[in-house]
Amino acid sequence: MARQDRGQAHTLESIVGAILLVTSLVFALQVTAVTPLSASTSSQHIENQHQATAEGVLATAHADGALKPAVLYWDLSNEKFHDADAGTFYTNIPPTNRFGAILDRSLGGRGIAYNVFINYQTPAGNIETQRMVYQGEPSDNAISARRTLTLYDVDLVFVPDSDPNTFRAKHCDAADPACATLGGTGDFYAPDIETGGGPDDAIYNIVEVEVVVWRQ
Amino acid sequence: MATVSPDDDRGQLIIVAAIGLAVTLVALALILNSAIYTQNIASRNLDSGADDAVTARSDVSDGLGGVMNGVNRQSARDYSTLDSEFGTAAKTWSNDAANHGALRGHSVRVTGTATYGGVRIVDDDSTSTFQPFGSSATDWVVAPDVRARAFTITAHGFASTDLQSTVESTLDGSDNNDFFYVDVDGGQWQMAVYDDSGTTKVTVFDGSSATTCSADASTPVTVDIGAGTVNGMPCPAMSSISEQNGPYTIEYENGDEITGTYELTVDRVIDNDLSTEAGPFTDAVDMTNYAAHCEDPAVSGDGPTYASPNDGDSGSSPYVAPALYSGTADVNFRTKSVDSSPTVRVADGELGEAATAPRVTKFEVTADGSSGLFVQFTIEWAVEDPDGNLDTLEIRVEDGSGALADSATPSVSGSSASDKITISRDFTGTLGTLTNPQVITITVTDGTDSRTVIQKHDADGDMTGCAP
Repeated sequence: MARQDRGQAHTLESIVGAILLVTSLVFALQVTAVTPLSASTSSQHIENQHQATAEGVLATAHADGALKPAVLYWDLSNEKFHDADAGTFYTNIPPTNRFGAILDRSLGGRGIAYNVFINYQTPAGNIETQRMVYQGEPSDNAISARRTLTLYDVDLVFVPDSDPNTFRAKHCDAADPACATLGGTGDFYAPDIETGGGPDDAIYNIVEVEVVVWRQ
Repeated sequence: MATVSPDDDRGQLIIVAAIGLAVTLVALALILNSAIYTQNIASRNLDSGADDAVTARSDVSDGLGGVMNGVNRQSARDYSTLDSEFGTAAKTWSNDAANHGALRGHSVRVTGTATYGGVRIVDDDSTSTFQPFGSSATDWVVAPDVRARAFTITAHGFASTDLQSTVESTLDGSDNNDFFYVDVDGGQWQMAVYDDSGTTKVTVFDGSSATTCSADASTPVTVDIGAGTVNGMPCPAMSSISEQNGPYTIEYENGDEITGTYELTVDRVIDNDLSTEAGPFTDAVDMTNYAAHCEDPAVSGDGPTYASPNDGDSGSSPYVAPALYSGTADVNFRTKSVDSSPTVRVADGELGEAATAPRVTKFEVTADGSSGLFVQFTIEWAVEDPDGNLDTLEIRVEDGSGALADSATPSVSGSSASDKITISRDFTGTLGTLTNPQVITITVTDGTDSRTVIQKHDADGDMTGCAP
């Protein structure tokens, strides 16, 4: 014969069981980790890919002989990069030389933004920065890749080639009064840090090209 | 009561089931989290800093290459001065480069340097044609049996105009007479620099076909064969020079068609005396161009090919000067997880492989005691090899008629050797009369390459005249 007074105990038991289940379900669902690998614009995978791409861009440009002409692509009379569209640097367009073509092909048009800085030294030993490309403030998950270059007193500055479709930069015409070697001009963005006249006088400056890449 | 109600035996089954399900859910969440965490750890970017170390090596090599060229470009100085100046300049470069590294948490330092000497051949007179210093030859040997680097030609003017199509069809390894070209190893690689109706062009023949790069400008145009650029723009055709094996001979053909400047650095040496151009390298060049190694042109009719370093500083062109061909730098690269100390080779703008051939660094012959049919020479020699595998050495003295007086084969090994020997022969009974000048040849090999220097001396017991 069923007991008559167990009904409320059963109800209580079920309620407690239900509470227990729901609590554990809520706990299990909210404890699942949102990791740096979760799909978002700031995932670790994307940072790694950008780092590898940026380092590859710099290495390719250096091996191609396109990096140094880009650093020397300075208009001495107007004191800006050639064809720069925002003051002394580029904003909406990549540099109009082979380094810019490499940057555009690897990073442009994929929702990836990049800045290019040239960090140069002053005779006092400080490091100052010249912007080459500036597309805005980077996000929190930006990466940067760097390459060191040495500039010498005898290096000629570069000017745009007459054919705009080839994106080549060429030596300026030595017969042109606007042309100069680095050692013969004071209008370059970086100063001459070795001027002693000794065997090390040939060094003009040691610069670092820094590419900062982030997802827009 | 004996009967047990089924309700009583149930034993809070609902709660137990609920607890069981709750534990299962939490355990599942734990397993899922472990899987996610494992995947996270497995795909982290292992930044060991090793690629920074590799990049630093090439940065040091490039940076010090330009520093070495800067040291070479100064006014003439001897080999030991060049060596110590390169050491000083390398330290300065290292200090400057360290400023960037300090901000990034890594340190790159050059701790020691060593150098391998060579000769820099320079014509810095932009109004001069490409002809030897001491004669008006238009087809001449610039450097026999050498490896070269930092080879640049700057054209300031041309004597005539040549069409690109003509040059491309006639530049095929054979001899040409209409335009200036550089010829390597007797037609295996040729590079013509010419003016095509106001545009300077460079056509390269790589052994099978001719390709042209245009400077898109009139003179002055700089052709950098080491870097493969024409006025700073890349010219891929020029990179075929790197396929030339072993030491090669560089000649200029029709040097009167072009005016301008040029320079190149080769891996043979001259004497340490800045007032004279004499040395094993110039002996070899003059012997090839004028069949005489000596400087007095009275007998040989022309020469010498190059002016002395001091004369070069005063304006004579072309001239030779002691220079550094290559060097090594001990580099120390440190970050918080990497400590690497490689030795880096420095040689900017090499046309092909690194220089490995042995060379003669001293070859001084004194004609003492020769008289009549008795031939006697004292030969002071020194040889050197950059990778330390000297193999054989032979010194021959032959009469001008070809009769061998004697030959010596001192044993050599390692990276350098030197000595002083006397070779003599009484030709009485063998030859009726001596045919002067006598030919003294020194040949050094390292198993793969060999180099030879020839001098001609009269067997008359004195060192006057040419041959001395």
